[in-house]
Amino acid sequence: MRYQLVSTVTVAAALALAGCSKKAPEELPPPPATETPTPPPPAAQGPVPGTQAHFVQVMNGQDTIYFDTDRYNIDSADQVALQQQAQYLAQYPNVRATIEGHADERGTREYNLALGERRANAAKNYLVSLGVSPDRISVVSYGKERPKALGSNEQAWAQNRRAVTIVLN
Amino acid sequence: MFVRILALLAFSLSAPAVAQEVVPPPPDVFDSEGGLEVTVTDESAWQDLGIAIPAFATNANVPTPANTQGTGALGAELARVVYNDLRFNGLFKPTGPDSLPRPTYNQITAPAFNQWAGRRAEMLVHGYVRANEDGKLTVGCYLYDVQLQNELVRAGWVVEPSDWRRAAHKCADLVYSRLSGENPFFDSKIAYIAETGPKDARVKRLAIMDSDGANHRFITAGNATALTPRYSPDYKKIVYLSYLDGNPRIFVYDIASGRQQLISQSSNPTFAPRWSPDGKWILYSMAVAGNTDIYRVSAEGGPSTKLTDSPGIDIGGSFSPDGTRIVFESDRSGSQQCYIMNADGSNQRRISFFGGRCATPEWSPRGDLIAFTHIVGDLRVAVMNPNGGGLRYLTNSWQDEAPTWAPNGRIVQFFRTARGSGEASLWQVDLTGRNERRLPTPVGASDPAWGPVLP
Amino acid sequence: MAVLANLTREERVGLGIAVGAHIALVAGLMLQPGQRDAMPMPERMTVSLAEDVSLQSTSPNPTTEAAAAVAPELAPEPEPQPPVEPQPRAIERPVPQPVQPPKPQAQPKPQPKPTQAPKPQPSAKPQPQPKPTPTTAAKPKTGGSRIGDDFLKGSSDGDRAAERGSVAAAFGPAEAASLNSAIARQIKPHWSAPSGVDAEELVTMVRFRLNRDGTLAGEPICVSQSGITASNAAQKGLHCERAIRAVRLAAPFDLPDQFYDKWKLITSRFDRRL
Repeated sequence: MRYQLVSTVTVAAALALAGCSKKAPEELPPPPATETPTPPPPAAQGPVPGTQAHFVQVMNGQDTIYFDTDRYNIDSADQVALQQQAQYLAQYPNVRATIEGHADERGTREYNLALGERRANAAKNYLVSLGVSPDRISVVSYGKERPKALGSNEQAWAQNRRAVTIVLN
Repeated sequence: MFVRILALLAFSLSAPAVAQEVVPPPPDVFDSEGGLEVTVTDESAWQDLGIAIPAFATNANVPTPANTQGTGALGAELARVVYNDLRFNGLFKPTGPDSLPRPTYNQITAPAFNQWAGRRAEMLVHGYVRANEDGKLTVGCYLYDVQLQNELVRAGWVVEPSDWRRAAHKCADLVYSRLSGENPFFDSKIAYIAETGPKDARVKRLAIMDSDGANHRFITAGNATALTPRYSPDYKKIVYLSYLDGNPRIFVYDIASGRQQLISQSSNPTFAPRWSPDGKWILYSMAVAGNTDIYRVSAEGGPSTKLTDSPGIDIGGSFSPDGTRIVFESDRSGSQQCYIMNADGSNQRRISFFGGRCATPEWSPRGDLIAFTHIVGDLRVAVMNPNGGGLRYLTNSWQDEAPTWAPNGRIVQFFRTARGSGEASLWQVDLTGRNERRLPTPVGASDPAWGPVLP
Repeated sequence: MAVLANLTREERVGLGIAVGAHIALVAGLMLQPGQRDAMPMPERMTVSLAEDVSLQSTSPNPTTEAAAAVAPELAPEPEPQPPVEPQPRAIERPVPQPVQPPKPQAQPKPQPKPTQAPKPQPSAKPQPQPKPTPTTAAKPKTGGSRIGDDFLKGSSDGDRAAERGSVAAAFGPAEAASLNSAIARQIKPHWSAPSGVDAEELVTMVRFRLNRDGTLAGEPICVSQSGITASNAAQKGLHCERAIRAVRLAAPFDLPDQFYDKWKLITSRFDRRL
């Protein structure tokens, strides 16, 4: 009796272990995309490296930095994004970029043009401090003329107070 | 006994009240020099002056290029333009030609006052139009006081048939300035930005029109965003901002030839162009490495003079009517505030100390007030004295900005942005805060600027 | 009651005294009023109020007695006589009968007396009147009147003059107040200030002369202006013009003839108050 119980348990355990014993993967998992920039995926698919489309894809949202109302300082989150941008630009040294400065609609038109200019310039200065050559980067301000979020509320305005880096093809 | 005490108390308390009920008569002084002195006070609410504007008469109903049906119909049209000018002004209550009898040509200079006395019209406008042999039109305009039965003012103009509306505006100006004491402003033009398209991809075109919205014309095609135009004082040029080459650049556009040229050859972005009152100078703001300052350049071109030099955004700038001082906005103190400096850039001093942010200051052509946008949560149009006191609001909406003045310094024009849709429209308001009205435009509109009265 | 039982004797006595005293107080208050004497009624007198005081007294002397009048005897039917053309003034102006100070006597007839008494009499009263008692000539005693020549016999004419008060021989503040109001009231409907910024600050003084019948003699002129600021300077000419216009439209004025000397020259101040 005891011997039968032990053997049954042993067999069941073996079966159970067999169920999850396949640990050896059949194929290697793809490397994570957010790690350091890797060599581009197979050339037949995806955008050409060094182009705006590729840049946007690789940056995954880090091509844009955000500001508080009436502010143009680079905070810590902005610094992380700008560092990634600087790394991309270092990887493709022939690429030029433009930084667009924007403001939210809740201010007067002409001052917002100047403020957008200020924000874009702050981003450029930080990139330059990270080693990017200044003649590779130009700056343009759109003031409040080109909102990204269309609402008239705090969330929309927070999204519109931005500096966007555009890679020039 | 107890009740007696109560009565005494009550009486003593009410005695002063009773004494105050008696209104003393106004002080009268019998002065042998001035005679009896009397005071007459107007305590009524504002009364709009009633004006009757019947159709203009003509000596002979002949064809004219100005109107397909001849000078007779043109006379009615002229009166309608005058009526609409005065109607939207907020000071008068005119009655237009469509509900009034038509006077004859002879009655223009000898009105039948009895006929008009019963119509609650204190004033009467009569006019005539004649077609001259060379094709031009002669328009005469007369203003009468119906109750006193006398003529107040008259004037006449000779105009091309294509300019017939200007003659009507001149007549409205004559009536308006005679009855309000203000300078005229109807015979003028407005430059603005016409807007179409969705909020994140607006098409913005430069456009011009008469002060009443007629003779509308688009100047730019809309491929490049155009912003903040300003008419030159002689109406020959418009200075404005365009993204023609992808960057904000200021152009001086010559209306007659249709050509435009850059105001500055610098590659730095330039914004906020302004004219001096004599048309000789143009102010503009340029951003160098994030720092924006105000510059002055001759309207003919040439080198620019830097007027401000603070580590912040100094932008805009509006000359006083005598050309000696400039009011501008600057955030050197940490937030947008209004400053005044001499025309050469010296003696810069802040004038706005009332809280909130002061933006887009504009000096009145009369010199007595500065209109600006006051940002206190909402953006509101307000006026203040040139020393920063006497703050008074003219509007109270979610977002009203960029006020500019009518040529007579009595009407303020601005644009209003709707919450959510971001749709912009042009509005005008009288300096007393009354009569806020929308200026009709074919599509959305912003950045209005008013030119001077045409001579 | 169980509570009361717990009290000591002293407390019970004190409570009783307190209740009793309260009752006595209430009873005393309620019974008091019946014992007072009635206050004497004040005697009737005419009162006029004026803020300023002039050198000569212009208020009527208060009289306490009002004499009784005896109803006149009706005379027999008079012979019909040709009707006399009625005085135009008698018809036009309403006779201000109810304005007279309260008198117990009856006044059965229109006022023949005032033609003898000095004219400004009624304007001594506190209420302003546009016109004094019209200078009605004595009502024609002919033409169907059944009142005989002695119809005044019973009236207390002697006292009446005293009752009405001795006439204001001088022109004082009360009369000036009435004139002010009369003139202002006639000009005001025609006066509207021009609108504009700071329009309430503007003040214009207009001087004009009047003829005896109230029409304008010559043109009104603006003698001075004040309250001009940078914002309302554009309206100052218009302010003067509208003030003159208001005066011209108000003419002819309707003012008491006997004071013509006082209102033949007027300086009027025009302003605006919200």
